[in-house]
Amino acid sequence: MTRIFVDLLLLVAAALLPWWLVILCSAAFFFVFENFVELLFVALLLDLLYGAPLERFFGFQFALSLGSAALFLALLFLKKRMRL
Amino acid sequence: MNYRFIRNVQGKKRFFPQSAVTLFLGALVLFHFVYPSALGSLATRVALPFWSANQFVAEKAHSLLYFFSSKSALARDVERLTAELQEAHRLLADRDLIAEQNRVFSEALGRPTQRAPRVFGAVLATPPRSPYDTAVIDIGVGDGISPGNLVLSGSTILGVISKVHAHTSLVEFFSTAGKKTPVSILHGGGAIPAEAVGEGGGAFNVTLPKEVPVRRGDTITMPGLAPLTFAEVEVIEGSDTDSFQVIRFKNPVSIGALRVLEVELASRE
Repeated sequence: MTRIFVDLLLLVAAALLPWWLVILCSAAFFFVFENFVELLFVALLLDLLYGAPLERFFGFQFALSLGSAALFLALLFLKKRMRL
Repeated sequence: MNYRFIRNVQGKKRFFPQSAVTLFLGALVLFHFVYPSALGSLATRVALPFWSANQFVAEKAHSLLYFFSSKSALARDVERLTAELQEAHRLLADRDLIAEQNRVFSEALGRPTQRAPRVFGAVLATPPRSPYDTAVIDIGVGDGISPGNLVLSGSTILGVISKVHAHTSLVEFFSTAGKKTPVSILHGGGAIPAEAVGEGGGAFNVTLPKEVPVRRGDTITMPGLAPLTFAEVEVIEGSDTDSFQVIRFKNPVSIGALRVLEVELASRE
């Protein structure tokens, strides 16, 4: 139940708050919940809402999602080391 | 009796997140190459009520703050705005005359004198909400918007329409980091062609040889038959020993404070 509430909060946050704050909150929730794949979906939502094919990323419009996948793996490694 | 090995249980747990990431990356590739706009419309439809509610609350809060502001503060505001209005009237005194001259010259040269139709759109989201220097406006396919339409604020050009959905559109600003835009720097009656590189947040830079004469305050326009204001040169960097000079400038309007944007429906020559 708590997790669903957090998911809804993140959905609203993606539309209203700065992107970095949404990602930061998702990263924090990664340590609270087990297998917090919502981090990936929030980044995908941000890309779908605001992403455009940019020259900087060679026309790839899901750069933030790609970054969040890397962040997810890094946090997974960190969480295991922290024995949470 | 059968016993489960602890190693097996741990192995299953460890496998799940990595496979989720792999599936996610596969979905990204699929969305990018096969269905680039499949979920975009759905996502904006979900976010639209939140954006509209946020806009409504912001407007109400703004009017409420004015209600509670002191009389002396309001009087100061009125005084300041009156002075600014008088100054604007003084500066715009010859605007009609210049516009008429421009129209006569354009007709003499056989250029179209009619402006392309524009549609106004309220800004729903701007950076820093957006990670890519893009903005969302509340007009879409139904209003005649199509990708590539120019986006302006008054006479200042800011970007182009990148994506169009049913009720919203995505604006890509020229100041998006790394985006290159051809511009003309007006100096001494001539136009110096250059390439502006976006730095994000409405900022740009141009690198030119040291010998090119550019001064602070020079107007920068988009090249074309009917040039549009882009910015004004703000800073020129470079020492006597450098071969190049870096010119820095910003959009005259703050991207984060935008409330309304205009979209030019017809594409320019």
